[in-house]
Amino acid sequence: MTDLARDAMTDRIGTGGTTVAIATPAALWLVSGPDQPANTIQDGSYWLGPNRSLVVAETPGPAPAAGFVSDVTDGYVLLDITGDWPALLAMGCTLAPAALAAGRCAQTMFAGIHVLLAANPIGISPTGIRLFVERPHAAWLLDWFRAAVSSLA
Amino acid sequence: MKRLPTGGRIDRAAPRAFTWDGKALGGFKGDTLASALLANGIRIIGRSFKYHRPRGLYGAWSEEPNAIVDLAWKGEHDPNARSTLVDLQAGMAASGLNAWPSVAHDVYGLIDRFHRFIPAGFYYKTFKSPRWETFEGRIRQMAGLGTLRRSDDRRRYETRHAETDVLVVGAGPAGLAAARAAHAAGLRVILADDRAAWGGSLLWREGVIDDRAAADWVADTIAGLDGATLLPRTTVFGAYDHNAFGLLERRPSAADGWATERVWQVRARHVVLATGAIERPLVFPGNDRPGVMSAAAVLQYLREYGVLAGNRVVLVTNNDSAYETAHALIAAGARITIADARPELGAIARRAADHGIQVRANTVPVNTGGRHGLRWVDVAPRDNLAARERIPADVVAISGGWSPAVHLHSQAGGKLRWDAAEAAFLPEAARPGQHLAGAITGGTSLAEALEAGHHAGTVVASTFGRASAVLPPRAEPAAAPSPIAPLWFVPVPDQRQWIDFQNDVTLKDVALAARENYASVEHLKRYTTLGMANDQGKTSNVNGLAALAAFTGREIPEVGTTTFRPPFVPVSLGALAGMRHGRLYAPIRHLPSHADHLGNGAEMREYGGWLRPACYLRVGETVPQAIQREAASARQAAGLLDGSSLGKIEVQGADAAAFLNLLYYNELATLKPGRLRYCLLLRETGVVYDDGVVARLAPDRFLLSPSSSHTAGVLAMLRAWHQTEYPAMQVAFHDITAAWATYAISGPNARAILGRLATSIDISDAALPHMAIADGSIGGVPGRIARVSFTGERSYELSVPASHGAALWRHLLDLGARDGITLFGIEALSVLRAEKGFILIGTDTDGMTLPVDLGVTAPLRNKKVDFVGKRSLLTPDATRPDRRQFVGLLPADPRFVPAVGSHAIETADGKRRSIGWITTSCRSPALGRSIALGMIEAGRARIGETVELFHLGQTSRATITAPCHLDPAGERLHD
Repeated sequence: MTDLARDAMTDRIGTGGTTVAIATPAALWLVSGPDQPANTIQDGSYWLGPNRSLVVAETPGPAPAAGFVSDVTDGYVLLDITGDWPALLAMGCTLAPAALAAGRCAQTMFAGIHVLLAANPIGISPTGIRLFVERPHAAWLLDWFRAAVSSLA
Repeated sequence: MKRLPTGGRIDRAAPRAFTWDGKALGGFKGDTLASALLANGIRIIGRSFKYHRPRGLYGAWSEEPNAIVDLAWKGEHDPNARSTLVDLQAGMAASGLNAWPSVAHDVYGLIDRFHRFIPAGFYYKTFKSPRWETFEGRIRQMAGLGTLRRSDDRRRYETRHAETDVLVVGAGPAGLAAARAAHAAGLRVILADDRAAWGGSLLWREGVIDDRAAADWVADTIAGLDGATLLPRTTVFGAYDHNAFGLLERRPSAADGWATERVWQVRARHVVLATGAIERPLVFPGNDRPGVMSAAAVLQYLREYGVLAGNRVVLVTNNDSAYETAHALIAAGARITIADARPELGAIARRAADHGIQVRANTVPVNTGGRHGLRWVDVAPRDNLAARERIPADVVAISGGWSPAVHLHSQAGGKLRWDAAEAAFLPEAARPGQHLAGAITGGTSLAEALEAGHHAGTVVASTFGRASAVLPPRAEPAAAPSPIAPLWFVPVPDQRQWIDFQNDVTLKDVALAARENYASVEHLKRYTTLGMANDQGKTSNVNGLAALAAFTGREIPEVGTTTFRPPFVPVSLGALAGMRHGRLYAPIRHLPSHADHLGNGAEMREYGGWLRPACYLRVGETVPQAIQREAASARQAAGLLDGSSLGKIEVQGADAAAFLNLLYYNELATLKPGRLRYCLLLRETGVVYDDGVVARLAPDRFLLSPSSSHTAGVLAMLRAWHQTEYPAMQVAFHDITAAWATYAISGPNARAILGRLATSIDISDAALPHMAIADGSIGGVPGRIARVSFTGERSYELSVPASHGAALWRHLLDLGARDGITLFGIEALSVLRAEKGFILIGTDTDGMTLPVDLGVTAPLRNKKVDFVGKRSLLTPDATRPDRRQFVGLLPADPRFVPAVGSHAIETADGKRRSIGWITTSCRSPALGRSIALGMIEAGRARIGETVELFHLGQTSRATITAPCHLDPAGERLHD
């Protein structure tokens, strides 16, 4: 047989300058091990909690060497939101945009779903945010965004 | 009543056609539905809730108790539209409520003739026997408000969250001054006002601010609030802990597809409450007749909408505020008579008299008349009510004083104090982070309101270490008003005086409640319904409690107030739901092969937050038929199940085995790498919380498979025990459920099908026996195969990264085609596991089920180390021999499937008693008959006995068996 094909999720939602697009980094790993300052993004490592982080490799590379590492590349869908993202954020969660200064990340509930939000991570527009959602919730959340952005036109 | 040729802030170049009870009428852009009805001479807009008395407009805004209508426009419908809050739109179709055939000619108005027989509490006392429900339907038909249509609500609603330095509630002079000062200090400001236009009372009261007309000052101020969030048509309906607020924003002109209502959830560091005050009615005989209106509302209709409410107006007041209405009406051409309840005329009254207005001191109204509206009013000296004088009138404009809008202050926990000079409840003190400005603190002049608002804004700024960059706005100081003379009711016997217009509560009702010892104002409210419904007593509360005070011989402060609760105005369920309706009602998880399932005809249902195939329907097949076919195929050939939702938690660390051994009921320290063990996880109470297979991937690495709906809970439990009890143990946990797709291939042909799979994993029985697991590649991608079964058949679970799941699903279907592979869903799986007597957590177990009840006793006997829940398993209750135990049941009639929840009944001494119930039942295709599982008292000792089953009045019989109905030796696992 041929190798099992990869079913990569692709979608792009855009209205009036506000867009939600799926990002496709090379790999993601959950890491339990070295700590980093709370709510920071350091070298692609997003803080999740004490001694826990989500490491994102934008390009192919080896898994983190330190700590307990689980490959979750297929576990998350990353949505890059640009344009009037504060308005879109305000429709879905209580987190104040001010809490998302550049280089910061925060876990919160968005539209009833547990997500990780990150401001200005490497590789996306400095005026946008990146939202990490578990893959099973992505289709529902994209439907939610399709409905929400229509108010931002 | 008529529309004046000039005046108001309506756009006369933009007419708006609408209908009232089917009659074509016209209004203008800028009208409310209420102002347009008034301009068209519509006097009767509603019928009262109980007596069906004709009712007209009393107020002009959210305080309005009467003018609730049925409203349809653009295919949308509001069964209880509050006409004073509705921006008139072209094409609106409005009609009256609670009347037949119309509010103008209501047959049910006859009820009013029997009012003596239906006082407060009549329902409670009369409709008791045989049951209230016997009467409820008819009473509800004759009373109440609008009726929902059965069509969907097509309006769009949204939710907004915001965080701000200061929320200013109310954009009257005080609110605007506060917002202006805070904004000038560089603070983030949200300004919310429930009207479409800014200015609050400045919209209808005259004034000069900073040497220019108030309207110009308002416009300049709003223009200067650059960057602030300005929310017109937005009512702050609730104040919650820590300065959290709920706001309802109405957007009637929103473009198609946009939300017409939004609920804002605002968290404010500070809030300035500049909510103003609400004019109280006067309580006197006939005060509910259409044409009796709030004096302030008469002024608003005149100045905002250019509508003259009446030509012959009698203005009745006990305070100075109504005199501005008198002067404005005269300027508009009306004839005015003023009845002032105060014994002596004050300065303002004397000035009115000097202008030629008839002003009668010490005079109160004692009756009104007119069949379909007001024709006359009788007035009399307050100290000689028999000396009546009849005055022709088409409007009686009344002012009983002002009740500060303290609702938000009180909702936030603020206390009130009675101020005798104001004859009103005022805030005792502001709550932390709360600032009060303007009429909420009592009667204030324009200059005082501006000063208080500016002060509030600067105080807020100072808490941020900032100073406001603007000078306070100025207005001419006003002369002190003459004191109000409270007039809570007119002591005229045998005539009804309305306190609560919306709920038809009269002075007599309050007197009756007091006689029946409903002395608490909260009891009075429930007994009479005073202050209930959608106006929440905005106009009636103070008059009601003043009457209760009088009838119980107490002072008003002794009576107190009812509790102020959100919402301040009605908020539709749609607005509260926001986007959470239809397919966005609740977040749902999709499987990696979701599209394939749909393509395969799956009937998708929600199971534990996942959208999963219940079954796969073939053409002409019913759901029960599909379930039976799928279950039979899995037994006879092979079935393919999407098990991707099954939890996957990786546990790693030097202490992983020891830690899991402390958590799980079963022994895990002895589990060898590459092997699986079925385990129970207990709460501290010993109750079974979850079950699942634990795999040991390496000496220091495990993979847990919690139930689909328990994954988050199990992860939380692991973390909680690690962080609170065993922090020193070297162990960590990762939920990787979402990263993997898992498919179970089950049945006698499973091995043959898998033999054709390109995999590096040796799936021979020697290398991969039952309850073993191995890693390798599957179809060129990393994967894992576990030999584990929830069907009782030889089964393999294949896992690959989620993005390759759909491809593997299709590939397995192709591989299995020649061996009759059949897709099966959750319902068939439930049949298969029921045949085997396997439990389903939450279905066969509940919050009382212990492992011993399930017959799983070996770990308790043999496990050497402590574990969560162990102590609870040793208590006398846990070891009772008569505990309910998990058993199988075979119905006496093999064609009859007893309902889940059917009770097993035991009869002793002529009394029937439940000894347990059925937890699972189905028709077994393998056995060709009905089977069941259940929890029965001392069930294992009763095996072989017959029990009576009872469900919804029907009885049947069943024989108790061991739980496993099929292949008890487990031979099929190895076939």
